Amino acid sequence: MSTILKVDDLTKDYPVRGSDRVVHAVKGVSFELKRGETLGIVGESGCGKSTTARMLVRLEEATGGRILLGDQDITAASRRELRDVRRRIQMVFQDPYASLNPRQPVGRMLDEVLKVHRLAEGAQGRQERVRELLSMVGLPATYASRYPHEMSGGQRQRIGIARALAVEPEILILDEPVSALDVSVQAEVMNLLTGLRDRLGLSYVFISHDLGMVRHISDRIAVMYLGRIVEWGPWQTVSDEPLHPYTQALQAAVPIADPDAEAHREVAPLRGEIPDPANPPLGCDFSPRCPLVQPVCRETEPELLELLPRHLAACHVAAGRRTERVSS
Amino acid sequence: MSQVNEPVLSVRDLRTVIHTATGDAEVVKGVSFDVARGETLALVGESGCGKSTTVLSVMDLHPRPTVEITGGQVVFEGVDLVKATEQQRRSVRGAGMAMVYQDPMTSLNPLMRVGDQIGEVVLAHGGSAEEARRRVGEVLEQVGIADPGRAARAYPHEFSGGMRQRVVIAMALAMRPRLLIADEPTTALDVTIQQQIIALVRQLQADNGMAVIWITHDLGVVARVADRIAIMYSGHIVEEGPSRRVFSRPEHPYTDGLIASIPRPTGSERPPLRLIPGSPPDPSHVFAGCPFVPRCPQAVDLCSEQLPPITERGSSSARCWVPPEKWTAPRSGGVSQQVAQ
Amino acid sequence: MTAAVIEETPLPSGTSRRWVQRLWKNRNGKTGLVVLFVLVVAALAAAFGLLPYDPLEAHQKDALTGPSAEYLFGTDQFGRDVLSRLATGVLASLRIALLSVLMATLVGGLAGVAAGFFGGWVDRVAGRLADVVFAFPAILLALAIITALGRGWLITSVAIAVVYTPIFFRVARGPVLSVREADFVKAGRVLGYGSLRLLLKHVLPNVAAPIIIQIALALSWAILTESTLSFLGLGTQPPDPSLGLMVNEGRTLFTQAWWLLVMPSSAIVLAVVGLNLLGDGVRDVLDPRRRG
Ligand SMILES: Nc1ncnc2c1ncn2[C@@H]1O[C@H](COP(=O)(O)OP(=O)(O)OP(=O)(O)O)[C@@H](O)[C@H]1O
Ligand SMILES: Nc1ncnc2c1ncn2[C@@H]1O[C@H](COP(=O)(O)OP(=O)(O)OP(=O)(O)O)[C@@H](O)[C@H]1O
Ligand SMILES: [Mg+2]
Ligand SMILES: [Mg+2]
Repeated sequence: MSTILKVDDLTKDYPVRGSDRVVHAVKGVSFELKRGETLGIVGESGCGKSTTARMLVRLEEATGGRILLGDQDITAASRRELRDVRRRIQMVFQDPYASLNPRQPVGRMLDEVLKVHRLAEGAQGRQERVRELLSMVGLPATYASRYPHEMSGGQRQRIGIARALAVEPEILILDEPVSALDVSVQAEVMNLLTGLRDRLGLSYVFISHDLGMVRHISDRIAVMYLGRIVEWGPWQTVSDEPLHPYTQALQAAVPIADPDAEAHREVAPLRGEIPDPANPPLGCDFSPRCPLVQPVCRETEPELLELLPRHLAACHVAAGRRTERVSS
Repeated sequence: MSQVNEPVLSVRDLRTVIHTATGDAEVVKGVSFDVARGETLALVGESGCGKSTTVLSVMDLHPRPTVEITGGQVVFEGVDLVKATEQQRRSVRGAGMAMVYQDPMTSLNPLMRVGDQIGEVVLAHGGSAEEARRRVGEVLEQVGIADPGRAARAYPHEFSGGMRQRVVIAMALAMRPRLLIADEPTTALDVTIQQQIIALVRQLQADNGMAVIWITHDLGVVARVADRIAIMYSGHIVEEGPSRRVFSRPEHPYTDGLIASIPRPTGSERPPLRLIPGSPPDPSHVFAGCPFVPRCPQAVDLCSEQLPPITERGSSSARCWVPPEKWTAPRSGGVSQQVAQ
Repeated sequence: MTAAVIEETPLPSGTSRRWVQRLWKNRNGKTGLVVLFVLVVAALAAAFGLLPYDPLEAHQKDALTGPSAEYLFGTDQFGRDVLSRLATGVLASLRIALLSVLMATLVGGLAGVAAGFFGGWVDRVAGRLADVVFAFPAILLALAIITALGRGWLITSVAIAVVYTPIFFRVARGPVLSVREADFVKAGRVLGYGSLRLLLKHVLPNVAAPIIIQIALALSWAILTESTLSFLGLGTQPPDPSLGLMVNEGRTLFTQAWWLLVMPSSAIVLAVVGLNLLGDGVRDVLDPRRRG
């Protein structure tokens, strides 16, 4: 599989209002996305998932680093180049209410995209394509005349997906695409997303705070904490046999919908809370909460290292264990 | 975990109507349940099904005159609150039972010191200033706040979301309630913080035998906290029973569908998720029969004609005409089978 | 691929109806529309000379007669027909109100939209200007402008427009600021839409409601302001009729001829209350949360 998107040392600082400090929202994030692959990004609130997503589609200017789409750097693209970039990489937003113009019927919404990018021949051709897009997301053609408030949350999210697909992109950035939906409707949108990916050969960056959903859809999973990727690897090992103590704690904290399993999972909750991103701790960001903390963790920042084949973690303790194993 | 004894709260056929510009909508349509001492009842259901309205009616905190209780009984420690005097109700509210809301920011007064807010509850129920001060220290310590003295002097904005929720719980504990109603207390919090709050509530329960009604839409949280489960759909409790039993042998197709629709937490297989077609109905919609019919894979003709009665089946009960052994569509079979697969 | 095709669900009622129709169904809106209709008919009658009498023509022998079949609203001290003068006054008031509100909407509203959407220095400069204008008491400001520029209905309109421009600026800027940050506008950016398209097709339609409501309210204030100015002798000049002027004249003769005061005063009250109700009605109709 070829690499389609390469993110290199991406950084974003926000100034803190009324002071000269900055919030380090994203701190040197690097990853690759292969064609047809789904990369899941999971992490708790404020860890920089949305900021990363917004930089990928240039809704936000990066403070540092590069985002390579082929050999095109998105962070440096001119306005004209950006137009082409946007035909290749699209985004689906979290809130299906806020992400659709309330005064535009669905048909006009999709038609507008086609018109702006001259993607179909004449009004007839566009109409045809609108119908096609609707059926792609499982909605009847009659929905073209509906306004957003005349649809349910799940249907609205389908429209958000159809709109992103209208430009025939290669990559979809999905920022919490099911978090705002009812439980029984989440499954429907998840199935739609996996179906579209397999049928159209799309690549996804799937962002969520819900490890269960990320586990369900991803080929590889990146775990973020306080602006950094702390673990990155194949979906099953990251979610079921994590190397990083934060991922382990996260996994233990996610309740399983099975009372019997839960009864055998008496794990002590992680202590403390996420530190202030404007004032991160010395050394490893996770050290103040880490159950395995060592003196070195409070002094030096761990690097993201390949501890198992294709499985990376940024942790002194996990790295130490591996060295022990290798030397013994 | 639960001792079987007199229920602390017993709700019978509770009906609540919302008066709106377009007409009246009955959003709680004859709901009955019991909660015993030391027990946690999870009230589960999707957005808009009437969970909050149910417990607000129980707490007598529903916004009037828009929302009105039109029938039923809410028996708390032997007293029917629907028929009780305002005086009686006021003494129960906040003292006998207390409530914790979803958003810890809006349930605290931003302009008042945390200690004063907690103390106010004690004062409002006739406690002395000395008592109030002592109790503030006690409850803040109980909810695991490191320096209660300093915390009492702080304002809500000085706390993080998780700490604020601890403060809200401390406030609820001020009068040593026998029943704690928690309306999605962890939905706004991160999972690691949610885990802390769940552990806290369980600890408190173990210490003082408080009963808890825990509202959530997250089946994972349910599995972790609940002794019993009540599943709500469109204003009805459609299934009720012990947690293990409901998860392993759902009696209602809705429960069955909900359980099947969440991704498997373990294993290397990731089959497509089972889904419930369509979406939850508008609460103002009046159904002749069962409100789940339009989405139900097991429905028969009778279902759309007549609302099914509540049927006892072993330790569970369900509001469904079609018992699981007569279900024609494939079913999830509950979590145990699902995980075993 | 899921095969779950959504079945047709019925449309929520009352969404496809035109909003004017919905306004007519709203109690406030209906009252407002009726009042507006009456005022406009009166003004049109005056504009096209369809009045029972010439508003300036004196019928000396009929001076100060009360309301009768011949003179529906009576006559004044020169024997001029009060109804005809009233209609002409309404025309004058409406003309000034409409023109001033139009100018204030265009200048203030557009500046507000631009300031909100583009932010930066545009916002800072326009905001400062609006603050300065806003700092003056409205009537004093209008008085100052008229004193400086002279009299006449055009200048009166300009004076009133200047007073209301900062209000429109603020009414437009606030919602634009929040809509600009809405996800659907961000989605548009990601889809490669240009700023102009986003502004005109996505932001403006979503901030129209507060501006339209403001227009209805501003019309009523403008009528009131124009009447006040005329009452003070700074608006329309005699012998041309104007509502404020007629109130002023009627005041002195109230004990002999009540209709000279009551008729123009009622017209002002009717116009102001009616347009306010219209504003409320429009708000009810345009705000989806209040939609019945
Ligand atoms: N426009 C902004 N100005 C200042 N700080 C910001 C801005 N946007 C984000 N931040 C800060 O950057 C950090 C990362 O935010 P981000 O929204 O990327 O987190 P997230 O992982 O998406 O969280 P969530 O799960 O809550 O959506 C947070 O500390 C946040 O407060
Ligand atoms: N004060 C009110 N005025 C009008 N409608 C109301 C009011 N309170 C509740 N409703 C409606 O009643 C229905 C039930 O609401 P309720 O808040 O009880 O649902 P819920 O199950 O708690 O949902 P959620 O999970 O979203 O909190 C909803 O459709 C809601 O829109
Ligand atoms: Mg986010
Ligand atoms: Mg609720």
